[in-house]
Amino acid sequence: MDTIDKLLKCPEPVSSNHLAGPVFNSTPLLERDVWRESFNQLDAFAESNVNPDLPLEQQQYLRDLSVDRFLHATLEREFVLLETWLRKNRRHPEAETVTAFLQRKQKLGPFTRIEQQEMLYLWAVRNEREELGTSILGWRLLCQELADTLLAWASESGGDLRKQMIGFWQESHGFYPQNRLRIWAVRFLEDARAPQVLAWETAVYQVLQETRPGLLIGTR
Amino acid sequence: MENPFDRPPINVSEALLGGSIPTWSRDYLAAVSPAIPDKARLLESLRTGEDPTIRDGVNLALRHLLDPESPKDGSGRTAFLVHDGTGTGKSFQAILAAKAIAHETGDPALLTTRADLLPPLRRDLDRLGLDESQIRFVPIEQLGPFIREAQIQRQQYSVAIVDEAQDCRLPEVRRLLDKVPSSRQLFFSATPFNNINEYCYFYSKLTGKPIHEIKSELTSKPDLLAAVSDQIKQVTAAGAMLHREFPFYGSVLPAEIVPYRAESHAAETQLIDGYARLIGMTDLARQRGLLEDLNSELNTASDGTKVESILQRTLEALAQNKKVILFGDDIPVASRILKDADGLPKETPGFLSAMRAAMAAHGIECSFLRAFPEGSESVPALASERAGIGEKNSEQMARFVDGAYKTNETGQRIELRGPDNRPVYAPGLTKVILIPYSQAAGWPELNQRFSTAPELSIILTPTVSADRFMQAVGRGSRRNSQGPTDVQLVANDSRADCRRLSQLLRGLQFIGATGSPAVAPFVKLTADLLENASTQRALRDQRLIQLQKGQRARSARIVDPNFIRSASRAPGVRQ
Repeated sequence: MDTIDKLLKCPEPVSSNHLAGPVFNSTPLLERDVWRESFNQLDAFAESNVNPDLPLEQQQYLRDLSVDRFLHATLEREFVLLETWLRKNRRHPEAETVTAFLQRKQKLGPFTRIEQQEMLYLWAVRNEREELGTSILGWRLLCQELADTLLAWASESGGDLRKQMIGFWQESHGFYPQNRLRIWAVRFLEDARAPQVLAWETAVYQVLQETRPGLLIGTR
Repeated sequence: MENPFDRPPINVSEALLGGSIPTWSRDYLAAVSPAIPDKARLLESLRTGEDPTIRDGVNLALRHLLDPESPKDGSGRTAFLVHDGTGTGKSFQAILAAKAIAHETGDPALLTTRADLLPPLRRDLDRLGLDESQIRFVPIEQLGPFIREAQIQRQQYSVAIVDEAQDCRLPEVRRLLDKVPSSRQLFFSATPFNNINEYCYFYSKLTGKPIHEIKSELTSKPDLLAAVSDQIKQVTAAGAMLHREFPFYGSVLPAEIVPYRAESHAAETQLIDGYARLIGMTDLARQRGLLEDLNSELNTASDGTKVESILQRTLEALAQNKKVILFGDDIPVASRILKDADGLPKETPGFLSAMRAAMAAHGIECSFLRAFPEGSESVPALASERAGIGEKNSEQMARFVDGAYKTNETGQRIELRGPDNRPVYAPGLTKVILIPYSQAAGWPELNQRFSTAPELSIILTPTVSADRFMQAVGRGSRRNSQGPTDVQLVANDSRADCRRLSQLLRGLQFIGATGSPAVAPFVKLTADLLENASTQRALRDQRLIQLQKGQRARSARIVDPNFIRSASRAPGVRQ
């Protein structure tokens, strides 16, 4: 932030790590750590998506997208496993908590949203004068700032599941930080920083839907 | 002016520790012998240590890396950083360290850097009369497949050497390096840390401390820069790092603020007020985007007022038979706030484009480099557009640089050499080149290495990036430079320049805190410019406030009934 930002009195994103409720941990119920299991396969998964003949920056870009896909797929897997668990354990004392957690599934959005970001970005840099272009680029910048603060916070000692998941980001905020932030926010909705992430995305997608629906179905 | 490159570089580490720098007792370099005896002379001169830079570098690095007591990072690796400036012989040190450590341990050494930098490294290997035995050259882009192969073959490496280690800013490079089957890492870079994150990475490698611990140690100190300096002293005294560097070869013209007229100030205020209104009406995401746009508009508007002044300076330099390199931004703007007389958004060309037009109007032909599209370094879909611009930029650069070239059948530019194998001099086709800051790095051909070539004058506008700024001024001060370069930073007291100078100063001070002597004159220049601009701005604001107060007082008197009554009784006023 510099003097001009102060002059214009722009509000800052929420940065508190306050929890509105307990963080849901699926490991005791599923008797397996879904995230840790997936993480062990991340390298093989990500490396198969990266071409070593490309320049370093492009490799980093592709790796980041692979990590985003991995995070999305893992959260989806956690949801699926919990749904199966719930079918078999309707009367379990934790069943209500699991039901509430599973309601977040719809907030995750489709898998294609990860790939969609490139097209939105390319459109926005070519149309930055348009209101929507400004919003898309601003959204990315905002997410970058928040992702950086999350990375710094996660590197501090002492941790819970929230930090553990940021550890899977592999020290990178990603080229499209909105992807990993969305997945993190859905998983840890009780964190004070999470709701704003989903609100920013909803606002951008609403404008997209109203003004440029073609961008959402893959036409440029 | 004496050429500092005629002497060994400044030993920054030694100066930092008041002369009590760690020393080596075992000469590992002595064990490296040439495979091609005819080419032994260069290696022999480096081994005798007439210029101790290279011998000290290799021996101090190996002393630390081979000491079992040296600190280890979280992955159990010991690291050493050679933070040597441009032209100090980092490539020679990297090759010789690889050979020496492989000889000492029996395991081969891995030497990695970007693929396009490996051929010059191999040429240096040949110049030293050495062969590739016991060195594995691997493009850094290919580290992934290399690691998989090494794991299958269970091959251990004595050390992983990274040339141009500033690439470790990329998380992917860091991750792969920590997978190389080697317990030692040796980093070479002239610019390893441009910000606190990059600094913490290397400091963590060298000390074994976790990054979060280093960060909290730094943030707990009242003076961040002093704390960084202190840590660097500690790590240098512990023998984990070495820093040698040449001072800047040239003269820095004194700080001078160019005029920024009242109407420009008024437009600036109008812009900020207008954006404030837009920002007040929208959500956070768009606000961030608008802030970026406001900065672009303010920067372009501020730089646009410098065209005439910079044109004059360019003409003066050309009249003195100098060549001119001009660095700035080139962001055209169609204002969201300001309107032309016809009611359409006011359009302002990018600064460099405006300069090119002004030069053309004076009959001066320039070379002109274009910036790459935003994000094109990373997004593969933009790679071909980037390549096209890169090709055109190379053509433009070829018109500016001196030397005679021909193009071979594969389209490669080959330098022509005379019977004595020295490059043939031919003057460039243009004497002025306009370079966007994003294109400042690289371009070794900008070096004025011919004794008959004109001297260089570098003119810059402010930028927020200290790294790019230093890259830009570094285009003139090189090992083979035949003459000094003069540098002028042209700024005014606009809000855009105050902001850019302030951020530039912070960045330069950070680089300065890590000990760089080449940055010192530019820290002073930027600080002086910022002070002058701020003072001028404060004075103007004060005058404005006085003027407004005066106007308010006059208006108050006019509406005051007593004033009206007394005024109406004044002589000469008709009842």
